[in-house]
Amino acid sequence: MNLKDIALILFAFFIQAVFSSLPFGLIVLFVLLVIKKDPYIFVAAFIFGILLDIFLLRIIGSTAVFYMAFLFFVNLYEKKIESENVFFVVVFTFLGSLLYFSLFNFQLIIVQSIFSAIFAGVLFKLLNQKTKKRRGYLR
Amino acid sequence: MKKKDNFLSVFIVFLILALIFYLLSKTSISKMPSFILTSVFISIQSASRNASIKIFSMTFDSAKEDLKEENAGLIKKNLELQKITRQNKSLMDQFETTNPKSQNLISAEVVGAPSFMPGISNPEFLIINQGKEAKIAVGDAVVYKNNLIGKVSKVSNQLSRISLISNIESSFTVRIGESGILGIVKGLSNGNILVDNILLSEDVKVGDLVISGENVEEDRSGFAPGLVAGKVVSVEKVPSALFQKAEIKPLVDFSKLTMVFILKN
Repeated sequence: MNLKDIALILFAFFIQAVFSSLPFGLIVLFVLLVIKKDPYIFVAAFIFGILLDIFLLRIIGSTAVFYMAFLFFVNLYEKKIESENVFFVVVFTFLGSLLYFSLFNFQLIIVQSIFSAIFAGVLFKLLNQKTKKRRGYLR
Repeated sequence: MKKKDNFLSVFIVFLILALIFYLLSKTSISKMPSFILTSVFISIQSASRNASIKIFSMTFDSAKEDLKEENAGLIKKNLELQKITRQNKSLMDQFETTNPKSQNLISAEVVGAPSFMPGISNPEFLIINQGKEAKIAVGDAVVYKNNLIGKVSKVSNQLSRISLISNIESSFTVRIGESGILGIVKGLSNGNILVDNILLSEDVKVGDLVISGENVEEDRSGFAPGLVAGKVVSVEKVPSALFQKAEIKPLVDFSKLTMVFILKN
């Protein structure tokens, strides 16, 4: 995990804590996990979840547990199916968001989950392209 | 294989840590670190929200906003006149004070208002920068001018969470129009509010003002009477149904609120 990833996670945290009900943190962490497969994403999920719970006045630890459990579940599927494709990202973000919105009592859960999935798809395309380009230059 | 083990060990360690935090959050031990973190980030949260609202108001037509503000002021005056008329008609001096006189208002800045479409759709709840330290308690009513915003649903030392009246779980009694028709408010998911349980015999019109009814509890929590909940935008009257329904729209745009007041009954 580099400095750019940390900046992206921090930006997602502020958006989610102040402006939007969409789970930007979950989306960013999930996309980074799919592309980079770095175990430190769990550390970021833990810190992100605790901070979000403090600011949104939830039971401290609840978001962290949900984020980590979801990311671990995704990680289990990594070997069974080809995880590094946009359909995997879109489908899992939709399901993850749906669960998140239902657990934390949000409204318009289907519409919000669809938007989350679209955003995750776009973010994945952008970040994956950059990573592929970098890998190409290295070769 | 090594990488897989690494994933599992990091996951287990931090899952246990998160569960410890979860259990500690029910005791007072975890309050100190959260107090420090909140103090550090609260000003950043507030500044970023204010900046975003300014950007949005610069983008959209400001003249329209001025007219909305003026309209809200006129509605307020009209409501006061209606109240006086009703009081004179009723000739019941002992009930003259529909608003409790011993009200205390605590001002608070909105530091977080997550919504589906920031700046466009209504927020699902508000986070304000006042908490137990300012003697705010769960159940306190939150207002802006004489408009009802919601009630405090959770409190920490420095922050409070407000459940808006448009929240799907919101429910309280209201009075509609000059004749004070009784109804029960229920939040709708689109930011509007439904008033249900209105007797079929009553005449509810589009444009009627809806004010809070008598909702104060024994512990002094709840909404004081006479606060504006919104304006009727549509009426659903089916002769075969037991009651009629009315959809109301709040006069305040919750997404643009930067300051609110906590009403201590």
